[in-house]
Amino acid sequence: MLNYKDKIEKIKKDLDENLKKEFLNYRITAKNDKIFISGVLLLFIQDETVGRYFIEIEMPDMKNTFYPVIREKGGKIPLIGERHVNKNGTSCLFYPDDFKKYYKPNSELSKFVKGPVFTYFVAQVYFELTGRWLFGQMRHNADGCYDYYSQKLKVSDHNVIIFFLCFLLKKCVIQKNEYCPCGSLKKFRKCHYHKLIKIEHCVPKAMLENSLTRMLSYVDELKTRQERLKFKRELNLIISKSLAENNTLWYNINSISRLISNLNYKPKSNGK
Amino acid sequence: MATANEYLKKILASNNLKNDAEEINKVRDEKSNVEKAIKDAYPEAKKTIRYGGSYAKNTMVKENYDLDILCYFHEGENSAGTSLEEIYNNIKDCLADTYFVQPKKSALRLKNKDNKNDFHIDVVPGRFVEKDNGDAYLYQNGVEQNRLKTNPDKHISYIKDSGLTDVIKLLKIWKNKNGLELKTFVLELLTIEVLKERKDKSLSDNLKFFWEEMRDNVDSISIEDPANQNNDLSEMFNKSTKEAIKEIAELALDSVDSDNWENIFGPAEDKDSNKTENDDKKRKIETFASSVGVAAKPYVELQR
Repeated sequence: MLNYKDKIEKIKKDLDENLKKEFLNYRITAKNDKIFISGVLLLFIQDETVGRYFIEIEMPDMKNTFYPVIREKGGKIPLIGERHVNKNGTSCLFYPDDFKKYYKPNSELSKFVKGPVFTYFVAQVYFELTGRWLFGQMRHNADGCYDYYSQKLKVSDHNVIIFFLCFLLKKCVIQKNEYCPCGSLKKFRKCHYHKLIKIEHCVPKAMLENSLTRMLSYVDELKTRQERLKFKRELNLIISKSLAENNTLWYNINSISRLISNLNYKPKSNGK
Repeated sequence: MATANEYLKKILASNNLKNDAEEINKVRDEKSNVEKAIKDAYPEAKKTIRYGGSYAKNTMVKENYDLDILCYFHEGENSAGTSLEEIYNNIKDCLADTYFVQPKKSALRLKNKDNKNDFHIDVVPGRFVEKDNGDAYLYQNGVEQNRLKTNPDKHISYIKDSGLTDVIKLLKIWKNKNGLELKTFVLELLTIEVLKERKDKSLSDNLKFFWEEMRDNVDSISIEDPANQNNDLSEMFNKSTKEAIKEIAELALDSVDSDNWENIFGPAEDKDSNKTENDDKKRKIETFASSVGVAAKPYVELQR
């Protein structure tokens, strides 16, 4: 394991070698066991600067954060969801569960900066100029979660997505030889099993929990507090009953579907 | 090798917007159009339309220039509205025939109606309280206390006669290069507050002193609107802004310590990106986008 000094040295070497032109006046500090790097990011395109942002990068601790957290500190981008910035100032570069596509533990920070960080800020400049997102955007909250997992798993039923997330979080069991919950009439092992195992290896549990909460919040958006509590109570009951009886949740998917459809809920279309 | 002050003078020269500069001519032409639009809408109204902001204060820089056009109706002149809000909205409506008008707090930003290209022009509607002493009121959009007392003459002379316009220009470039979103007016007041006793010092000495003050004492520095002591600037000069200033001042001082001024302002001959028009920038970004295979799409978790 690298100690702090070594980690800082490694970052410094990487930035000096690979981002000399693009990341100016940077400074590395360590606060509360975390490493922060702040500096000016220049957006060079065809040898011209199309924008510049004063940013802070918080290196991941791999316990609570799994990829570098970016904050625009110069106040150029308003802290509003429409600009893909959280209220706490962190930039939302991509759907969190997708982070491994852009950052692998201990990989070089410069690659991350040249990749999603660079495209995110170029897209911000473009948005300023045109009001459009250069590479498109994910929908917010649960809708974005639904889009991400429905594309990733190629399923459109949000009940099934909830179900798969429960499986990934070991809230239910699906036997390999059972029919796949997606309704394909294929065996689970020949259908979604391997995709889900791949996701299980890539996405930390905490992130999957957040995604499940997002999916369940679909219900939150539409119903009263009492109904939400009732829904969650009933869902938990079904899950715990399944586990206690050593049944698979598949056995109860009809109960869950009924429970959700009783709420008259339909996921919003993403326009595709 | 040039000394720090020679280098800073070169930076000022390359950022100087001469009166006949293309950028200035363009916005000047637009001023005539703005004047015409308002005159056509209110031909009989007693009003004063003139330049304000950095152009009048002589602190305009190429890096980031805007032209403020003040449009103040005289005391008792009600043809464009009786209240400040009415004046603001009526001027907005009359300019909307020609421009895409983007309402700001007190000003109206003008953009090209078709392609939304920015003209770098802010029209500031208002009403004189007393024409002779220059006191006027502005409407403040979306603010509870929506009337703001101001005096452009006092602002202009306070900044223009401060003897510190060159330092202000350099600090505006520094602010822009670091992506710091600090109101230029606040930066001007801050510069004068910190350097008012140091007008005879060199540019490099003053910049260094300014950054040291920002690093060490930014929390205790208070600024006041010379035209209106009751104008609350705390929102524009808040805690997070102060923290950002402090942080980038520290970075600047690191470069000063190693005598690396280019780290702060770039190469002296560098005309930088602002010579490019937005169209050019847009085109470059679009070309870049087409060369990128799959890019991450931004997401956000809105607070509910």
